[in-house]
Amino acid sequence: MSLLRVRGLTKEFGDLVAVDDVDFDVADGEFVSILGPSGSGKSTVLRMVAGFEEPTEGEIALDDVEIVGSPPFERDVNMVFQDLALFPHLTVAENIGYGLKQSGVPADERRERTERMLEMVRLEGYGDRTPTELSGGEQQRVALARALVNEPALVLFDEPLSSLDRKLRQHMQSELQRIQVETETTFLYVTHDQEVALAVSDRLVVLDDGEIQQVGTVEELYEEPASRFVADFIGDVNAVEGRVTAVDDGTIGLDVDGGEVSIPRDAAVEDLAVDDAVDVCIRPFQVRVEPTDVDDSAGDALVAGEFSTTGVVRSRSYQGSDSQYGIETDRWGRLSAEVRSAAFDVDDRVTVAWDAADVHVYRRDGEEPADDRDGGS
Amino acid sequence: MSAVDRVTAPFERFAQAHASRMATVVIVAVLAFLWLPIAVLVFMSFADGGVLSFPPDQLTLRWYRVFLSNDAALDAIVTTLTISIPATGISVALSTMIAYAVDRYVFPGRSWLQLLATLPIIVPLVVTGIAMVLFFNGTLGLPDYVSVVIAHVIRTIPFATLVILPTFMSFDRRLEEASKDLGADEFETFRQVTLPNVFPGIVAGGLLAFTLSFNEFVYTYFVKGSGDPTLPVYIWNQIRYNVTPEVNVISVVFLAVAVSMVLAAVSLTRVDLIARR
Repeated sequence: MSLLRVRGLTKEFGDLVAVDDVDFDVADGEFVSILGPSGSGKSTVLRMVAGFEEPTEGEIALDDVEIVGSPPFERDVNMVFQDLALFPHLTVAENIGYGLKQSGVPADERRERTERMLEMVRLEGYGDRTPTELSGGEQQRVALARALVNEPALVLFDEPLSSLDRKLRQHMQSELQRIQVETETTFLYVTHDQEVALAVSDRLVVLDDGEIQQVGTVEELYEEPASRFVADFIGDVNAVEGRVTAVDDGTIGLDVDGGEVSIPRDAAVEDLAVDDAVDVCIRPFQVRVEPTDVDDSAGDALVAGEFSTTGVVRSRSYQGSDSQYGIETDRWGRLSAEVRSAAFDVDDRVTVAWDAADVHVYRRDGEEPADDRDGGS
Repeated sequence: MSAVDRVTAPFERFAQAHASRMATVVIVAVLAFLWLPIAVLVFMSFADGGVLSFPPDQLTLRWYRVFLSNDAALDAIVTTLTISIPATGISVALSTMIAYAVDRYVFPGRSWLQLLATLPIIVPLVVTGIAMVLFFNGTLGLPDYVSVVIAHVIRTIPFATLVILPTFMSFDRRLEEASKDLGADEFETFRQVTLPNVFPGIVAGGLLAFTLSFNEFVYTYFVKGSGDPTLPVYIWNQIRYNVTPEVNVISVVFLAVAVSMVLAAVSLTRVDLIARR
């Protein structure tokens, strides 16, 4: 049974549909992220769960009890705000104890539980300071402790880590995971940052334009993205334009700018018909780069029946163990490749290839115009 | 090197060489311009002798003793307080409501309200003074006391609003959401979160309003007409008919009240409190 059940959740602001018929579940003890670009409605979903916004339509059930219509102070959820919203006129300990005070917990017990929380977030001895005396990372911990001390059924996060620098953010991510496991609490985390979401979540809800694009584990979203949008949003992706030439039981035939390639049928999530325009998507890390002797860019140099083309290295960047190359290909425009080898230089001619088994194919029906993104963001 | 450069270069060199000394000179000159007359006044309050002559023959506390035994002056202080205290209370209440409305709600005429509440600052005092006599005393026929309290409220609202409004604007309303999220209902949220955060600004607005009202002369002089004078009107009458160094003493009392109120207001609206979100 799920702890949080959201069904048909819709929120309209005037003519704008911010959240459109959203369904998802969060199981007890799970860490679920709602991931989407800004304006996708993810924060609105969170604020409806917290009780700051009233849904136009739909149900939100916590522990099988409908909570739509009940005020925020009666819901068994606590939120870590984007800008943290620590009380500036109270000390760190008073901030953390605020929720306990509201629910009438006696002062002794309050002090003890606040102390325990400070320990949990590794801020022992900080209780008497004011929030402004703390660093950004320390303030995050106070906000987290303030939400957790009440032992809510569900803790909501509205992108609280977005203001931190990369290193601190990564540290706080692992802290979040540790604390979630230690407290056995359920976390619902909203972010536009796929890196954070991939790192911390058990499952992801991908939202775009108020609608759910896909719900699944990190692996599912990365390996089997349901749409070009998800493929683009979760990790980098190269897209090659193509047209369907044949569909049979096991394979789909594609014309990719003069070359005929056949791919496994299950590379396409939706049913395709002959003549459909499609995007053939491939992850940069699945692209191979090899040195080539072929000097001219004539079509006959291309290997038939495979995803293979020649090109010129236009950019490269070292990313630790991998190198990322931007390659201007003769057939498919600019592609990006992530390979172990650092052997290639700008202006080198190379052969670029990948396996037909690794691609994903999506119909282009005008919902997301191809903009030849090379995956860099 | 152009002709102009040849002329200006020596000045530039001088300015560069003596930049910090020149800055000091300018600051001292400006402060002297602002405060020297007041310093002389404070000094003269200790002067012996019956006329406003400088320099004094010797220094004395005589005029302070005279002031403290002068029933008319003390009565004037009491009269002032009976006007200023209620006027301050009403002014702060109205200014807080105006600030709250302008900050929280979007309503027709919102910008007009903000403008009208603060505009009286630039209307010449004499104009408003005459208008008030015409309206409150003439048209409405209100008693002097009521008229003068209303006049003081009108005089102080713009300033109190200008002090209180930023407090509301800088108050982060997410704090109210956080409070409700943590289980406090609307009333508890107002009591435990909103009020403590905006209170210093309201008190500062009140102190400023009180200082202005305590010092208010023009409206009072027009509206109050005869009857017990307030302290500023009393001083005016003294200077007109009977100049004694006691007036200097009363002025020093004024100065002390005004400066301490403003300092209290400044310390309450500590810059760091407003700066942090």
